[in-house]
Amino acid sequence: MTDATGTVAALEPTRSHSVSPARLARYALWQLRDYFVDKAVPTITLILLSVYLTLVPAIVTYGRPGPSGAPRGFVEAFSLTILISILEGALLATTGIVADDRKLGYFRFYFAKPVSVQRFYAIKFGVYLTGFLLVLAFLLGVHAIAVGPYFPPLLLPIAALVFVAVGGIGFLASAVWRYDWVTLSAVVFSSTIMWGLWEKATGWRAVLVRILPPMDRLGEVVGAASGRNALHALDLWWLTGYGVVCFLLGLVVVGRRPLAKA
Amino acid sequence: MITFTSVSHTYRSLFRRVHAVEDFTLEIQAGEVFGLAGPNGAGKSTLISLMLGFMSPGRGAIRIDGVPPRAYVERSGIGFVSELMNVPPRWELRETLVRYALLAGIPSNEVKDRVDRAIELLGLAEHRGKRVKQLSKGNLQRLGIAQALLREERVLVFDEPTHGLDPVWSLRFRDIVSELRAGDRAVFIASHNLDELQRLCDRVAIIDHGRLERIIDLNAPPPVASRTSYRLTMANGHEHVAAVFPGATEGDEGAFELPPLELASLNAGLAALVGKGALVSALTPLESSLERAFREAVTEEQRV
Repeated sequence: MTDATGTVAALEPTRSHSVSPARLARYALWQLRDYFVDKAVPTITLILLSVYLTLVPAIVTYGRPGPSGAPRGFVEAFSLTILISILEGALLATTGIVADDRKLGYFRFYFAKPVSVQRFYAIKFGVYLTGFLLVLAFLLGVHAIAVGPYFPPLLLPIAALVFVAVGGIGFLASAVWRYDWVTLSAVVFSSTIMWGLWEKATGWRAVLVRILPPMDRLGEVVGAASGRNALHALDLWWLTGYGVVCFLLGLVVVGRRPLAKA
Repeated sequence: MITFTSVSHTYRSLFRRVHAVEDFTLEIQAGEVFGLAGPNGAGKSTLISLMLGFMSPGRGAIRIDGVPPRAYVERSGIGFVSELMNVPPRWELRETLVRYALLAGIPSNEVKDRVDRAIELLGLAEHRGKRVKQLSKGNLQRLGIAQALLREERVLVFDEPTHGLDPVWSLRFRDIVSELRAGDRAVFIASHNLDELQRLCDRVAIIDHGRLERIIDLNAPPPVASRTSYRLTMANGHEHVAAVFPGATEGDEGAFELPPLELASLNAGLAALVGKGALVSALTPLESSLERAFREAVTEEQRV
């Protein structure tokens, strides 16, 4: 190749590059950057708003956590804040995770390259989970400095699993169509309500409610992560398993659904 | 190298069906620069999406090096320039190329060098720090071409590659395609610009309403008996033209439009003109063989 004004030199002779999956791992650093540029700021903003609405009043009312422990009212509010944060984080992270690339046509250049569509999106999901955990860890660090030392050891691992539970549904929705955030919100809210109403129902209601994710267990699971109550491992695995199945179904859809409409 | 065998594809919506491609059969050889021409909505974009494995045909089969397109792309990659330059607007130009270089499987230690050379080749050095949303249409198109050339792919697909390029860069693109000609590489160009296809391609397929109408071999000599209209420009001796070429109509600046003529009649006429002391300064066909074939193919289709 030569400069633009000179005569055109021959492009280098064709030679094959070994196409290693490791390059997608290198590209993951760009995806992590995309998370911080596109998703982290709105996630932090929404979490801080939740903190302002739930945690700050509790701190004013019940006091801060100290070396001897945290007031019960504070732990309740902390648990609620974490629950809201994970829901918001998963919703924001998975909104458009697949659908935007289709809608905006970005897939054209990504997938003319020697890239597996499924591997690309599986890594993107993992990267966004990592990004969310980094955001959460950062905010918990700020919280520990500004409010008091309160960092339950199970918080981040359980937050990761709950992110998979909720985000997996969001991923499937995004793989299927562009109305992903509406779908995820509808599933979370409707299943929370229906599980509350019909958990002990029989007949078609029992069938329907068991198709939906057990979102009514989220409060207890996140409560355990926040040190409020004991962990019911079955609830956690049911939720996470549901998310994993949805995520895998999403990958199947991604692999089968046409990327282009025309 | 690339084969389409009885390929059909139909778009279905709730209320209607559109047959985008119908019973399309074609073989593109390695070493060939192949063109695709057709009116708007003829099925060009669908064929390209099928060739890149962005969707699968409803019927028939496409193979690249013997494997389905998606499998080929995921294994080897295709250099692709899209008519629609869909790149996230906040990416910087150089960043864009680095990202695509990584996805293309270029080794880390070669990425910088490859990206810099692609920037240089497409004359984008002064824009390397600009965001995609700040680029003009032409520069965006050059970025699209640059990303397709990062790696020496064996299959290159250009969809309206000179759309938005100024004349200088349109000419430059022709040079680049000439350089891309290689024994084991197939270059596929879809364009509305018939002149461009005529200059660049070995063969051009004309499609209309999703059907392959004809394939023009541009390397084949024109049939001696074919009749073509010409534009004749005279330096002097204008007064002899009407007598030598009955039916010629005079335009401006000493130019005449000659009626359709066979080569033998044309050459005899020119000899007669020169014999009378006239000086011919230019003789050009009014339409290229491709333009003629395109017009005939599309007109025939409309008649049917």
